[in-house]
Amino acid sequence: MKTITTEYFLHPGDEAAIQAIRKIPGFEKLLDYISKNSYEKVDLVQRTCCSLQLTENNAPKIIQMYARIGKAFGLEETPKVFLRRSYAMHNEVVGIHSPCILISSSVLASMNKEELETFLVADIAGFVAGHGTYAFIRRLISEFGGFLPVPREVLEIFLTAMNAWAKQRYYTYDRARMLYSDNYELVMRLIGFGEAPKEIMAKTDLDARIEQARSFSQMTGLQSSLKTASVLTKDKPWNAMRLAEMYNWVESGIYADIKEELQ
Amino acid sequence: MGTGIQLTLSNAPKVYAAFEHAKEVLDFDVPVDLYCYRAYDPAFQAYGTDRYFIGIPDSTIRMFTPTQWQFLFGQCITALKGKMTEMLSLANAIEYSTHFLPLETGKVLVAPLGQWKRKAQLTLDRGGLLACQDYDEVMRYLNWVSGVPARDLDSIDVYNRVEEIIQSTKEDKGIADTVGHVKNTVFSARNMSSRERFLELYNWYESGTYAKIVREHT
Repeated sequence: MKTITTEYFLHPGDEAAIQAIRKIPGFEKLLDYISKNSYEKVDLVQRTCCSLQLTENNAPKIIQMYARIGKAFGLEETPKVFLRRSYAMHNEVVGIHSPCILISSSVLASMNKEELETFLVADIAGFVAGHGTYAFIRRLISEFGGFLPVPREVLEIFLTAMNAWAKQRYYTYDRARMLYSDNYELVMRLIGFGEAPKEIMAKTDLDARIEQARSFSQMTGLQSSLKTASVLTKDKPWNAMRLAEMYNWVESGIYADIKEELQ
Repeated sequence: MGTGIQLTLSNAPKVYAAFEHAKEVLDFDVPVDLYCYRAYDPAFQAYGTDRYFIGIPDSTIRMFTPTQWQFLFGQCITALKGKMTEMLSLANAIEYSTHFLPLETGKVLVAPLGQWKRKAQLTLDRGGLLACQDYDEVMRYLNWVSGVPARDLDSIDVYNRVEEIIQSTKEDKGIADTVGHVKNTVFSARNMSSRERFLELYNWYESGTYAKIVREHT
C-alpha cells in the first residue's frame, strides 16, 4: 500500500480552518515570537515533568504500534510519547519544533489492542498534519494569553479561530483511522468511545447511534443555533456530527475511491 | 444528544429500571430521554422545557448502586416536575456570562440566583429520597460526594457522621470561620455544601415529615 499522506485524510474543514488561522494578521509574527522565546520548552517541561515517557523498554507494544502506524503514514521516526493521568478519552499532539504525544491513561486502560492501535492513528495523523503547532498555540493563548505581547481583542480572534480548527481536526482523525484500519464498525465505535460503560456500549446498536446522529444534525431553528453556540468555545465537535460525517464519507463512495488509489 | 449515548431498556436495562421506578414513585408520566456521557461528576442533570433529557455521567453508573441511581433520578424528576430546569439553566447562563460580558445586571442577579440554586438542591434531595426511600443509601451517597472513598463507604456509620456534623455546628469557631462560611454559602459557592445537605435531610427525616409523606402515598 502507498503511504497515507495528508491529501488522503485531511478533512476540507480542517484545512480551511488552518488557512483561516494563518490569514489572521499577525499570526506569523506570533509564531515567530513564540518560537524564539522558549515557550515551547517551558510548556514541554510543564506537560511532561509528571509524566512517564513510554519507550521500547517500558511499553514496547505501544511503541511498536506507533512505529507501524508511523510507517503507514510515511514517518521514519515517531515522536516521543508521554503518559499522563487523565479521565479524558483523547490524546494530544503538542509542540512546534519538537512535538510529542501525550497519551491519556484512560485510553490505555479502556481499549483492547485492536481498538488502541486504531485509536492511536489520530496521534500520528495529527503529527503528520502539523497539528502540534496549532494545538500548542491554542493552549498557550487559552492559558497564558495575558503574558503574550498581543492585545486581548486580537487574542480572542485567534482563540475563536483556534477553537474552530480544534473541532475540525477530529474529522481528519476519523478519516485517518478509517484509511489505516479499513474497519468501519471499529472506527464508528471509537467515536464516542468511553461515553458510556463498556457493557452499555456493547449493547448499543450502531444503526441507533447513526439515527440519533441524523436527528441531531437535522435540528433546526433555535435548537440548531444552540447546538452551534454551545460548542463555540469547546475543542471537540459533537460525536453525532462525527458519526454523520464518517457515514456520509463512506456511503458516498469517496472512501472506497481513496482506498483503491492507495493500493 | 450530540455527544452522549442514549440509554434504553435494551442497552442499559438496570439503569432504565431504576429510572422507571423513580418515575412511578414520583408519579411522573412524561417521556424523558436518557443520555450517558463521559464525566467524573457525582450527579445526573435534567434538561429541557418542552422535550426532556437526563444527562448521566458514566462514572455514576460504575460508582453507585441502583438505589442511588433511583435517588439521582428522583432529583431530576423533581426538577422536571417543578419546572426548575429553566431556572437552573438561566442561573447557570447568567453566572457564566458575567465572566466575559459587561452585564452589570447579571452580576447583581448572581448572588440571589446562586442562593436559589443552592437551596433548590435541598428540594431535589428530598425528591430523590422519596424516589428511592432508602435513607442509608442516600447518606452513603452524600458521604461519597464529601470525599469518602467508595471502598470505605460501607464501613462508615452514617448516623455517626451526622452526629459529628451537628456537633461541629454547635462549636464556636470564631469570626473568621463565620465570615468564610457566609462568603462561601452566600456569594461564591455554586453548590450547596454536603454538610448542609446532610443536616437538612437528617432533620427532615428525623422530624417524621418524610415518613408521613411516604405513609400517605403508599
